[in-house]
Amino acid sequence: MQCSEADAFLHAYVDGELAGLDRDTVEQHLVDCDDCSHRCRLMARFKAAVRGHLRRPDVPDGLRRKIAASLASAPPIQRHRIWHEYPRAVPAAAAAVALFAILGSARQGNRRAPVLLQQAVRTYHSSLPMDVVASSCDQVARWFRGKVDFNVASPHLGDVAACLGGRVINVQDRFGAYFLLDAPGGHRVGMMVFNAGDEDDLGGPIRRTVGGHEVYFGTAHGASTAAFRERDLAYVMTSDLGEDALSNMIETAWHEPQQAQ
Amino acid sequence: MTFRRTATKTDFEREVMPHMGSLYGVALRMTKNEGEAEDLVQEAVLRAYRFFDSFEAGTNCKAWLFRILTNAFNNRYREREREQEILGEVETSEANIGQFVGGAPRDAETALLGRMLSRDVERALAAVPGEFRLAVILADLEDFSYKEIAEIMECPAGTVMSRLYRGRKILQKLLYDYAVEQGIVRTTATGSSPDAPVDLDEYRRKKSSSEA
Repeated sequence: MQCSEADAFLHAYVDGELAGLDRDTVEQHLVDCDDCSHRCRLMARFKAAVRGHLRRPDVPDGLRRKIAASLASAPPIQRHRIWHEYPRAVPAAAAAVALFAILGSARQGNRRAPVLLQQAVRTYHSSLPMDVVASSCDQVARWFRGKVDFNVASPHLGDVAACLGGRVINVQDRFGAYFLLDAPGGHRVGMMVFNAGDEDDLGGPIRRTVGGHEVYFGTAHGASTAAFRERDLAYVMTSDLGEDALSNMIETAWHEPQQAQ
Repeated sequence: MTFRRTATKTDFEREVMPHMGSLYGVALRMTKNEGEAEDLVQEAVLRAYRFFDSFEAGTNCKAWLFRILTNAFNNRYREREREQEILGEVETSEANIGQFVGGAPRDAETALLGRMLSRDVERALAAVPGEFRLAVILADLEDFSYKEIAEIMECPAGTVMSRLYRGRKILQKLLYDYAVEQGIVRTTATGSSPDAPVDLDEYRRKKSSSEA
């Protein structure tokens, strides 16, 4: 990597938006290059300084009173007509809320999601482009050959989701495969696949058996997650869809244990 | 909360009220006027209340609220902002921005970082044109990810990145100028090279073709 190339990445790096190979490449360059490393430190310090100087102003009491008064006199919350226009959105949204209701109590106890799930959610939220763009999961799965040290089976999603592309990611100390999927209604689903050992914590607050797998469901940072193991591999799915939709997807793709290819 | 029942005012208050401080802070820095900021926040909160049923609980409430706030802001101030962008164009054109980070001698940069004043940072931020300012505020003060900012500002992630990086550069340049004015920093940055375009894809393409 040249300095001119690193330049475009440094802001994203300082903002914690890089993952996987991008982050490794930048970090390696920072080790090798004193100038970029200096620039990077300055960027981080500048960001912190701006934040430190710009205090959040207090909300005026008058504003709080005005809002409280408006809410007091407002009619009860109406069910929005979106349900009638998009009946298919109802089960997903219902699932999302039900999931939230269950997790609400867990969240109050400040239970942090396991590191692996947090990473899956971070990868999901980062909008960095895919290494390979393809509408066929088979094609993406083939592309991973030789790039990760395990055999990536293509999920058989039928019409519950379509493939958008794939990306090699770092999962703690190993390489993993990441599929990005497109579910009807413009919802995105990320699927992280990696070699998992017994020490890897996939646990979420809810455990259910889906498609012959023990699946852990949870939420972290505004996304729902579903994680399970198959043989030596772990699968972590992340989405803006709720538990039921993810569950349905797993059921479709893994209705019976897949044969190793 | 079960889903079969409709959300109540209590649900709304529990979800939305914790974000009041953030909403007001951003509204104030966008409108630069306390009265207008109050009106804007009130409008956004009441609009959120009206459409609270379309908010999917468990998803990111803060990002949803900021999207409403940003829409409300754009509806009110679009004209004014556009004028400002045009006026701002002269002083923020590429050639005049220079590079604070890496452009000035190291000791000058360090001196500036150590001696920035809050009122100068506030003044400089206020002078950054609207969309760049919003990107900087959302990323650096409110900790939103690029993806969330893209949703809030309703633009592609690449646009977020260029607005954010440019916004920061403008902010740095303004602070540097203030510091020079006040004699905090004596050296003026020279050789302002144009910014490298933010194109990570281009880099990846080059890299993968060179490896192939």
